[in-house]
Amino acid sequence: MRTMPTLPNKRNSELGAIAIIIAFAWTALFGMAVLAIDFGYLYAKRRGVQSVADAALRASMQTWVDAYPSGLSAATAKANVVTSANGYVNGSNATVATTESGNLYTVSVSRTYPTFIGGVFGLSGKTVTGKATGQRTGGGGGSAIHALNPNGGVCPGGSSWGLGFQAEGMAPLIVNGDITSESQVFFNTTGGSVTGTIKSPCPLTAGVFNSSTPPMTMTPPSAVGPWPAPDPINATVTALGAFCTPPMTIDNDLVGAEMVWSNVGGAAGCDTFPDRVYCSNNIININPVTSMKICPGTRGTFITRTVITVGANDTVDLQPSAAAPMGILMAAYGNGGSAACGANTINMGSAGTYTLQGRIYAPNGCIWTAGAGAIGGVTMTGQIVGRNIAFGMSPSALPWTINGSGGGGGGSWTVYR
Amino acid sequence: MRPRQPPTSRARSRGVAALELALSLSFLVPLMLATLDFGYYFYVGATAEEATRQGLQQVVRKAAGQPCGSALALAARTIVRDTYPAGPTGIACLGADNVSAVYCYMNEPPLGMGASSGPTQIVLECDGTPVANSWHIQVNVSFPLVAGFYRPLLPAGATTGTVRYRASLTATP
Repeated sequence: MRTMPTLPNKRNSELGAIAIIIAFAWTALFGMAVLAIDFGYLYAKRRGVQSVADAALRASMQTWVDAYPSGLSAATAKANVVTSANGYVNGSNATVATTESGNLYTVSVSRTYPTFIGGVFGLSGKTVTGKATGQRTGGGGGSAIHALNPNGGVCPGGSSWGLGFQAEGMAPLIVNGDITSESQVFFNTTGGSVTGTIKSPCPLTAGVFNSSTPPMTMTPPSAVGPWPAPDPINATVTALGAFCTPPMTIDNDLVGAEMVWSNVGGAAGCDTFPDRVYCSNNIININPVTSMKICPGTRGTFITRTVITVGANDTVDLQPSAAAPMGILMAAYGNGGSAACGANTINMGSAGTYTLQGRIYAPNGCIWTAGAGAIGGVTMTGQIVGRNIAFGMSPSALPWTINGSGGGGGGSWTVYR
Repeated sequence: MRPRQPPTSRARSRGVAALELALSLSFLVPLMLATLDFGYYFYVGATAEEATRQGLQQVVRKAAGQPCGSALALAARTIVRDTYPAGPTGIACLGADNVSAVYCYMNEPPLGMGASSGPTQIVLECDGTPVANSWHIQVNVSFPLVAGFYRPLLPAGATTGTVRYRASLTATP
């Protein structure tokens, strides 16, 4: 007898379906759990690692800048101190690496963290990395000192007051970097050195342009063009004014006719002010009178259409604002086209010590420093660019040291990324 | 008396679905709760890490390189440790001179954890370790989990029923 084939039982046809559903559903669910738990954990840890990298950069960047271009090992040691203090010990539970490329310095911190659910998918551990990069600014481009006045192509020679760049007085001048002048360069100091190149269209006759006693030591100067040499900052007051700390603008300084700092800080032994880009269409007068001293580490950038005077009678210690455009410390646009230094656009007259970072810029006038002041000397890491630049060094003063690009370290820095 | 019948296929599978459901839920529910609890915990943690970074930057900037005991350093510590935003402004107050960046950052919706006497507590010190004038900040956030199922696995918070996330950071001059 022929038997009829039986239809498959409906229930039998579903056998194994649950297993398939579970296989797919659980894969998706575990995937979601990996996203929420493991990646949430790793994301939180990455924020922590990034914070440590930032702290290490902030602690070591200035060391790198000051000793540029040979500051990597010193900066690395300092970065390692900070990362270790935060529990990230290089070679032990973390990898701390520092690199340099041109004007950029990077600190990278890595550590491997375990996963909780990811092991199911073979994700046993994941390395998270925080990376922070800083950029040299002040000393990063062009000469340490750059005088823009072409003087109509005339090269008077000797002590022709305020044309191009000159340094006169009884203190050594040490310039770690290049000096560029659109007209003359003249030294009559008490020794010192230039470790970069001196560039001028005027004759740099031995024993004439360098009348210092003892003569400043320097590498053979250069009178090679092309001229005019480009302004390394080349910024208009409008362009820089865009960085004023709101609500201050270049035409509304919120102060009145003259912006004056006096008795501004109240900290023991020195005065300070908030880190801002201060702007004015009138005179800016940095003149703390309580202690006659600007606190070390004080940050601020000053931009004006007219004149800046610095009159602290003890110590001036200034860095550019963290929000400074192009690492500028001071920029003054007054004294349009004046050939001489008679009416100073940036006038610094501390009777004590200058410690400055960043760029000082007066494209239309004269940058004049010290006169009878600066007995404690000048240490600047950055760049001075003015139509005319005149250093008047005090008798028996400590050395003036200008660290710019080209021959040594110098400059300010900003967080790059 | 009816002879005893062998159990049918349907009878044999009775209860299997319930068993499958029970077994599945015993894995699925904890998995879902873990997603909720740990996801939220690490979200708060990532926010706290960033708030810590913001706070440390603020105190270092405001102290302006002055020694630990100086008036400037002490004033900076007071601002960062003790000064709360005026209201639930989110991170709009970030960058303000006289408001703690930590509380400000922790106030960002949907968290709103930066209020006075709120879940965020700051320990902020300046000392000579590892070098002079080093700043150490520790941000502790005590908060309830969404479901609370995994609370025993996480560090206990300052108040009953909460867990704690701690972020710390050191900066040197």
